Amino acid sequence: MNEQQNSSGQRIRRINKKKMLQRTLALIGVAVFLAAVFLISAAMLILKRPDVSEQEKRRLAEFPTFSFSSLWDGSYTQGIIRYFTDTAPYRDEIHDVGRDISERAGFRLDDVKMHGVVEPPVPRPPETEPPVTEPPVTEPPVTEPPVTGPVESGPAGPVETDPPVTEPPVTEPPVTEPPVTEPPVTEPSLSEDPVDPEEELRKNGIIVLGSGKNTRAIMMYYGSNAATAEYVASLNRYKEALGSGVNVWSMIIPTAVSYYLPEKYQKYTFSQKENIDYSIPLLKNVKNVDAYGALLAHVNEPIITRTDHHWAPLGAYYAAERFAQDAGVPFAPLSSYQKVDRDGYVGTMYAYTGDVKLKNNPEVFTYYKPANSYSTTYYSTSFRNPQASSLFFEWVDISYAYGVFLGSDQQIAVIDTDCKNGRTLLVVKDSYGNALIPFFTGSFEKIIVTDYRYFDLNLVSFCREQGVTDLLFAACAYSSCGVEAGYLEEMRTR
Amino acid sequence: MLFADPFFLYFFLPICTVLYFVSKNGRYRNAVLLFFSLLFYAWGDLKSLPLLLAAAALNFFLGRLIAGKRPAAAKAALVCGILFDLGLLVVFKYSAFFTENFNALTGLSLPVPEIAFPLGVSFYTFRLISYLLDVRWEKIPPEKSFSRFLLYVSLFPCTVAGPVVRYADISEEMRIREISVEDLYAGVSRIAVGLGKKVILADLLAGITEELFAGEIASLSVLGCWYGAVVYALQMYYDFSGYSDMAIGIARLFGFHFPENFNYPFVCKTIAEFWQRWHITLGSFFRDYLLYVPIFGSPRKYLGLFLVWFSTGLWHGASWNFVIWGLYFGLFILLENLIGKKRIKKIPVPVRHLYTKLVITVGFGIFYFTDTARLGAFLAGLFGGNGNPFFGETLLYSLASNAFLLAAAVLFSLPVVPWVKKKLEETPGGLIASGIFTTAANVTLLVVSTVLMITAESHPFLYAHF
Amino acid sequence: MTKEAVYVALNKIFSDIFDEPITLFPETTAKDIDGWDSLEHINIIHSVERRFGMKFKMGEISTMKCVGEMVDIILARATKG
Repeated sequence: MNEQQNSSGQRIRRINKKKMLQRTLALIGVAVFLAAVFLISAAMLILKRPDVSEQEKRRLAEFPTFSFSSLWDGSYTQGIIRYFTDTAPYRDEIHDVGRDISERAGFRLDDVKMHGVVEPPVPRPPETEPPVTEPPVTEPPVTEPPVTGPVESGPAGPVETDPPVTEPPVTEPPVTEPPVTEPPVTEPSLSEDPVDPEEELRKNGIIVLGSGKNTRAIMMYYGSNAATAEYVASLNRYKEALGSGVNVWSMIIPTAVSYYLPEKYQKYTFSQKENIDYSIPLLKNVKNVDAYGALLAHVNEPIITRTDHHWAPLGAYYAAERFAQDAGVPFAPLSSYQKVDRDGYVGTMYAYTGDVKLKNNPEVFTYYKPANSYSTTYYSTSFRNPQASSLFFEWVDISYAYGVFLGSDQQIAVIDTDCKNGRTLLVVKDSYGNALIPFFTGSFEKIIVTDYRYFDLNLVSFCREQGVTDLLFAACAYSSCGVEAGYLEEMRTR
Repeated sequence: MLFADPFFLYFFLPICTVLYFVSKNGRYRNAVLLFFSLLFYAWGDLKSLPLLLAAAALNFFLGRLIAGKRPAAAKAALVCGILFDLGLLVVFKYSAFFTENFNALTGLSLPVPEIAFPLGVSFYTFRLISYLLDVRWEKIPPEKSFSRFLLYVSLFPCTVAGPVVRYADISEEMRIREISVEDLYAGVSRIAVGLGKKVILADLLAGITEELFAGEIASLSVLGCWYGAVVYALQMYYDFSGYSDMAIGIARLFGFHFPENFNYPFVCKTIAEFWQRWHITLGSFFRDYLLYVPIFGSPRKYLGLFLVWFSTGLWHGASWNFVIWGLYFGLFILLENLIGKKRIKKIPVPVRHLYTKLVITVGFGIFYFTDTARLGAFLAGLFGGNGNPFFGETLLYSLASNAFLLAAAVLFSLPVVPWVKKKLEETPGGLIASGIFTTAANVTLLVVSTVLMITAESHPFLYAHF
Repeated sequence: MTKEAVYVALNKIFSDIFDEPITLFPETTAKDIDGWDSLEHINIIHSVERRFGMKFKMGEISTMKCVGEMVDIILARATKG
């Protein structure tokens, strides 16, 4: 009897002991967790909030301004939520940690990570090769007048009489710099940019491969012969319109996928070489610049950036050299340039993929400054508001390193050089073309640079007004064998 | 405002909690909760707040009529109330869908209304309907205080995405709540686990699904389609059950015991069992308030079944794929019912697991594709109908670069944690170990989730210099 | 009609539906009988209604917690012995 009481008493005591232990553990658990929450809360509220992200190359969300309408439609409260997270203290550093954590989700097979790469057979765009490409080549004389007649063109002969028709919209004043009333230079064209980067990424897919200083991001490529044919047809029409007095050049610039993608992964992409080769025989009196071959000879040199979608200035040098040879203009050797190294460059491929391996293996961005003298003037996209500035934007942050050339794409640049050979070069380019420009300062007396996406005038008339002797279309294969033709035709016919 | 968001976790919730605990007075605490619930709602959708208030007021009034002494008035009030509540759903959630289909059917072109979807309307209408019916059936007395009723309707832990809490579940706790240290501990642990499920597992898994399913479906390999659907099933589980965990955990901090919403659904051996383990509060809502609707006469079992699964599908979204998805599950439940539990039990367990997992996987595929053409391409792709290859190498790379994530996702979808915990806590030493481990895990989950939540707010300006 | 008679009748209905001998008690609930799920519940209700010539209200169908409650309703409303 006693014993039983004893043991049940012990049991109760043991249960109580267990309860006490559980309660203590619970108390500690709650205290620690709440401490963590309140600590982070305090940090979120007290520490300084950044307003710019170097990593994402943008201004961060601002605290929303109050209005009753923004409160009512919810944008005010949503704005506060977004502000709270977007400008969290040390947000860029936290993003790095976050990406490191995400990387731990698995391991890399063959040192490769695929970002949005699509299984072959990749959906090829419909290709109707000869039918599409031939008409523009053979028919121009017949078809062009109806298409473009009212605006300009016509036979090549009476070129000089045409301007009266086309000039009003073009406006002469640019040279005399009249309107101080037009300061907002190029904003509209930014919003018109139809290229949605996320879409582009999703469409193309990126393979990050290698390790250490051999880490490289390669974007897959899906250009088509059909688009290439349209591009060539447009160039041919330019040549037709400008006549024999102007040399028209086509430089299709290949990207990393043409040189650095191992055989094993070739099936995930189309061939830039195939598209480039396809373009050459279609060119009518337009001359091809073999950038592909020029780069191929130097694949073991840093000709294309590893972490960015652009090529490197060295690659541009070799392509420019090829062009200068073809054009019969002088060309300064690389040794005559002042070499500038910028270390710690992590390009756009990191932003595209968020791949930590790129972040952890920055590259050296090397560019070359010409020794001769020249001056650079920037104009708006309608060729107004000249502003003298530098060809090199050397103050740009390392994260924008490629932006060292000409700064932005949304302006027209005019470079006057000490090379008095009477030749004027107009470069119609995408951002790839920017890297070429410094290497032409010793080759042409005047260089005009415009982006094909940001040009508001008629390009043919513009060539005539500026006395252009050489018209170079220089863009990457994604542009030339993709969307560029539409822009070129618009510039030609507007 | 979402739970898995720094603003909620580090601003809204701490302030609410501190103010809640400064006094032990029950009225004060209810007032704090009501204030923050309305604030929470207004923060997310101020425009729809008047609608919520009006619906609450009307249902409060009707509830008292239903419990009143005049049978005719009671019946009329019930009918009015249910028609009004369902009408809210139809108008705000389905009017565009119904008009589009009506137009397609009749060839008319009535203007498709563009009505903004009021926050949480799918959930609060269900809370209101269950309240009216429970009062009618005398399961509960009608609430006498409007502020308490409004608190029930707007209670912020379950405003946005459930669980479907019924009045009977919390009517006692609306008045008296005892909050022990154990409650708080269970609450914070639940919040941490739910947050981790959502931010670490679900959101990372979403990256895989996105990569596979957002693009060209027809070029996915057969195995790629299956892989995508499995990943999506896991993603949905962690997303939704993580959210429910957080809701239950937050409610627990304030002394409420919400009903459980998930119970390791993937261990099921029949589809019927799956639905007893997946979104439990919704399933039981439809069972209690719709399955037994006596409008069909003797074949009502099958018509009731059809009605329940048609509604379950449609409730998930105003799109045909959701209806197909609901009926698809209804069909298997019907089949299982026709075969009979006894005969099903004789089927070897591995076969039953295989069968349920296949059905569930395909089901989540149907759930994903709101576009019927893409859904068709996906279903064809599952069986090689697109001429797609059986296997593609990209699958290997995806499996490798997500290997640990996938392993964790599969492991934690099975009841390993409760099992280990139970084993461990049998001895006092184990109890301490378990306590230390749980606390460490809670804090780790919190910190890692916070890092990932901040990282997710990433909108790089990519084409600055293309 | 006596309680006992109702139980005898119910035992027969349940045994037929679940295809095995079943003995019900007032405190028997759906959990106690393997296979008594919401769909079988409809079958049971249907058979009981026919057997006793009565109708359950919808609220009763979804809220009755145990066999005892069912029997009370039957006793109050049955029109057939």
